[in-house]
Amino acid sequence: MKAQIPLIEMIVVIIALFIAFGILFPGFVYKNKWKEANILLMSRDMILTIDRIGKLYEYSFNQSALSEFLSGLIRENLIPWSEVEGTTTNKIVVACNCTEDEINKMYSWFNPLFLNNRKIIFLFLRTNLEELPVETNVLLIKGYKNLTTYSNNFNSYVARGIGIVELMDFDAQEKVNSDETQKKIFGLAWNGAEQGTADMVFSEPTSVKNLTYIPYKNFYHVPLTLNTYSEESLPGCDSYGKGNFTLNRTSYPFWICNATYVWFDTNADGINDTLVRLGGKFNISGYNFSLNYIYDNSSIAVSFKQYFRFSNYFSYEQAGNKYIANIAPIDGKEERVLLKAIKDGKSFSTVILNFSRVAWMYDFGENPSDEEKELLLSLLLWAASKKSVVLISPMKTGFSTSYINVENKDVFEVYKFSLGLTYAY
Amino acid sequence: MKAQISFVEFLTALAIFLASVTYISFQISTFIPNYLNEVKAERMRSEAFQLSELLINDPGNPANWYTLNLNNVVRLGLSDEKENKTNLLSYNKILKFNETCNSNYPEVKKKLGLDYDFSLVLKEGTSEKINCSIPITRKYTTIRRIVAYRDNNQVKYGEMILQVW
Repeated sequence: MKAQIPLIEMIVVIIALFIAFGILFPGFVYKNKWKEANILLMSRDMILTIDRIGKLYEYSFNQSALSEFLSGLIRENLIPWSEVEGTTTNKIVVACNCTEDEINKMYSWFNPLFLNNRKIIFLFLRTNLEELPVETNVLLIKGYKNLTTYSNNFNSYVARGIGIVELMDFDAQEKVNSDETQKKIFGLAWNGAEQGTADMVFSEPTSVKNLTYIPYKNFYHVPLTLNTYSEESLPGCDSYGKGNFTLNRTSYPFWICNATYVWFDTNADGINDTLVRLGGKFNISGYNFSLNYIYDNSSIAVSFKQYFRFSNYFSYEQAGNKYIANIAPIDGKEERVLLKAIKDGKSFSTVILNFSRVAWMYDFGENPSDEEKELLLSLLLWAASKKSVVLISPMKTGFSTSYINVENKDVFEVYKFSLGLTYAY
Repeated sequence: MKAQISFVEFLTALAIFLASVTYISFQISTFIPNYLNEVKAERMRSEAFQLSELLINDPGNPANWYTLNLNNVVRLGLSDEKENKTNLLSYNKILKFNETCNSNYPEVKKKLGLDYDFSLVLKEGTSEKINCSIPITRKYTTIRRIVAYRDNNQVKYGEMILQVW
């Protein structure tokens, strides 16, 4: 009996030890990362192949085209997703405190908009500035408004990556210097005013690192849409459609001739004098332009070429006299000035940028010239966020491969395209 | 009493020792065959990946091997030497590889420097541009690569399926 008890104890101990070892020292398992390596290799191969077939730019932004390509190649329950970072997104949602009429006008100014053959859609939505619609990329403030009470709202918008552009004229010191939002968020300061008008020129950026570089580049490269307003055909032309190209308040008519040619009246005498081929350059009033697109009979798109001069600027009128307000960067950093009026050798800032994609621009009123529309477009494109998810995946895990691509039809775009793959289970 | 206590201690120590030895021996005996199989599989996968890289991103030696007699070819590769871009193959090399592989598989295997047997299929949709396969006799590994090639000034793409065993 005495010997049996230790024997039973020993058996119990052995069993207990086996269980303990099994828990504390799980068996050897050989793990390899071949599955992960495989999907990394596959996503890299896919991006390279898309690039080799010359479709990388198209597939970067076109969800359905990319899905179709991937569906023919993806197996094994893989789920793809893709992202683009560093360039203008396909859809830009602009929240604006504008009237319905102003919103309709902006739709007509910026639609259709093509950039490097890619369609960019602007969606203008109304806001009271206190709350912004979901997916807002840019907040546009039109007309003077005391913004002091919105300081916290604007700070939160900026923190969420939303750009802000204000179109505002100031006619008194307190409108700038007593407004915390103007001072802290837009970084503006009132330095007096001078009577008269002046021409405006760009402060040329000296480096691509300059804050003003992107909107400056946008102004001279992004094609601006010019819509036709009447059906008028010229002899020898297949198409019909007459419109106006308005520069510094002067209208220069144009006529769409066919799919590749447009007639321009470059001296504003009402008669066509210059036939421009699609992609060709032309000159109006000493300024150079390029014809980038012809959309049937409805519109064309032209881009400004260096160097354009905005004429007869003034900030406000009082007792029949015109004045230029001297708005300056509050920190004295002249590199934040994009556009300035020059009067008697003195500079008056008319567009001032701030970090976090915030900009102040003078208010061009209800009926701007085309160079002013182009300027606003350049600022909106700059202020909008530069990251978009093209192919949405419900999965947030997996592996992605990034690839830097460039496109340079209208404007030089450099962006990062990422293609990710993950197993469904 | 003293002797009894020593005996119980001895039994306990013996039990722990035996349990440890048995457990470790059991673990090793079950792990080693799996480990060896995995190592073999790893080597095969690595070889398959290297072969796929060689085929896709190397033009071969000489680069115009597709115009030469196979005896004068040092190494086979499908990359387009004129474009010299990753994942872009030469259509002439694809055609020549398919022809040579189907007529002289052992020589192709030799020119690829392979110890293993292999099967290679290049598909564009349902059309097979390369189909060089022999019956698979052992456990094999598969690697799929996506490639592009220029055919009559049009760049097409397809899936290359390489199996090694």
